[in-house]
Amino acid sequence: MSPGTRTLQVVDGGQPSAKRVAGKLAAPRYVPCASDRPVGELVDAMYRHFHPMVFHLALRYGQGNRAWAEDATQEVFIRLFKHARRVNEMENVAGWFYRVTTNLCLNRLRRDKFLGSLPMRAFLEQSQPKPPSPEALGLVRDDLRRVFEIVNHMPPKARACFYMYYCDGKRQAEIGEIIGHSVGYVCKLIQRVEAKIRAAEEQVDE
Amino acid sequence: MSSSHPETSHGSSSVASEAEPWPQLMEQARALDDQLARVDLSPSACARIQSRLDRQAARYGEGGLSVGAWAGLAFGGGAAAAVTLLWLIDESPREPVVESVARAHVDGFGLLSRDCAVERNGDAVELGRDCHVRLDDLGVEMRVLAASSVVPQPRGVRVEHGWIVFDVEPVIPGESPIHVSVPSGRVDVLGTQFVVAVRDGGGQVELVEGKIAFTNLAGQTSRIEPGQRVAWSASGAVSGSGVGGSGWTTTIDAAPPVAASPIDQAGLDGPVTAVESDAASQSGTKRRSVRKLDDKRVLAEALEDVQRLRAVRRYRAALRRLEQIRRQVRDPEVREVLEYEAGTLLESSGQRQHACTHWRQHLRKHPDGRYRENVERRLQALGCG
Repeated sequence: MSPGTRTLQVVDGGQPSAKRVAGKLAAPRYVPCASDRPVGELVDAMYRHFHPMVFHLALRYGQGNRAWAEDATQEVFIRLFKHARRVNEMENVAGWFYRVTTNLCLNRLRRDKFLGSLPMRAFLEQSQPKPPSPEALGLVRDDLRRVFEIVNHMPPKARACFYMYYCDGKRQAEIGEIIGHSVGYVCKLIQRVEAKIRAAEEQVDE
Repeated sequence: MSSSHPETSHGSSSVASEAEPWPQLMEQARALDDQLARVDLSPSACARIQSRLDRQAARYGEGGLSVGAWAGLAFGGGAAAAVTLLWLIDESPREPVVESVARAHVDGFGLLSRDCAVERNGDAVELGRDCHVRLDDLGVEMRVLAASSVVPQPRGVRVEHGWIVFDVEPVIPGESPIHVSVPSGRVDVLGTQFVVAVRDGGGQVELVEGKIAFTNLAGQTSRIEPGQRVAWSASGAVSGSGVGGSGWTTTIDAAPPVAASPIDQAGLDGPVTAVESDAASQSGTKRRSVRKLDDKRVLAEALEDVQRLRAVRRYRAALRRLEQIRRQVRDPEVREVLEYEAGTLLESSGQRQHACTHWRQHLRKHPDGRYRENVERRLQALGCG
């Protein structure tokens, strides 16, 4: 597979849902429901369209932990109820989900770090830094496990910036808007990520 | 590999002159992300999320999801065959002031008894006599002895009027207590059974067993022991002073049996009685001190917490409690016990994949452990080899 191509992920028989194209996480345009529909139907329509993208983002930030990602996905759509009508009429509905999911995941990671690790990861704990759970590794090909571990060892915000910058093709200004930081801080986070990756490469060379 | 990113320089001299110095690693990172993108929600997760969204939609008074909508979610080859749910289309009009709902879960209350009348009235929930309900996620059961009105709150309820027996599972050390608010104060519940009766603003709280603390509107708090009660008049006054002061006057009643104490009995309209306060108690919550958990007796108490949580199917809370314990334990034998317990909780909560991984890890860590045979049998039973 060449670097520019990605797999189309069709989830149901209706509208094709989120797919990756040329390094960017781009969802086909969401067709809004009539605004007088009940909130439940609006949420349902948006759930069918966007839940693969939301789950993917949560899985990515949650270090491949499926249960964690499922909880985060549920929370995003529960939150949607309060804003369903407004979101339904937005120009860029995918952008709303991207931003809300990213921030929700970062908040949960911060909370998890304070309260303690997730049950599975806790019982597999070794010395610091904590390795990813076996179930998460099971999702990943053997040849990708090293980069998986490197990415997962990054602090949550740095990990988020890394994915947004290198995998989703977002500009630093966009990233700053999403996570609520200045462009300068985003740049610093990305540099830290690059430094870690450089160090990892040098280790392999040695 | 060429850089596909619009920004090739972000102010770092070490990077500015290089397009992508680590092409292999970057390509792997994208491949990794692609692989994660191919992972779908499991059928059980889909069902769980759908059910939760449906309950949320009902709270908005606009009906559940249509059959067609649910059918549309049966996606994927393996996922499609696993779960099917049928929902009645509810095209009810905009939410009326009072709507009668007859479902298994209403506004976070799980109905444990049949023919339980539950009606929503604005923020409050009206519970009919003989209802037996459970507050989801808090481990609180309520048996309604007379028609009552309660308002759900983040960590408990506020009793507007009625007569309710509360049964609360012990809270995990470190978690905030459950609160039951009444017109003249708040009951902080640490794990207990007690009775609340409120009528026309006056009322009383009787403790049957366990521990509660009552905080009046002035912020004074007292611990209540089993057999004691605190009461207040319709004016909201609870006589006596708080902790450390002149103390509340002591009235230790042998609290009459709950079933024989109708709401009209003395205590509500008569003189206010009060509860002896514990002068040493400074707040409504008292955190347990951290103790050495290598002490087998302390471990046994902690495991009782876990069993209580397991008994009410609060598996995640039980796993968190286990994790708290495990972090303080160094004894390898004790750790083995805790890890075995965690595995059984994972099985009970239906997390088969997690359980399989956990058991394999358990065998690797404890090759000659006491649970070896059990774990091997569990692996076989789960079908994970």
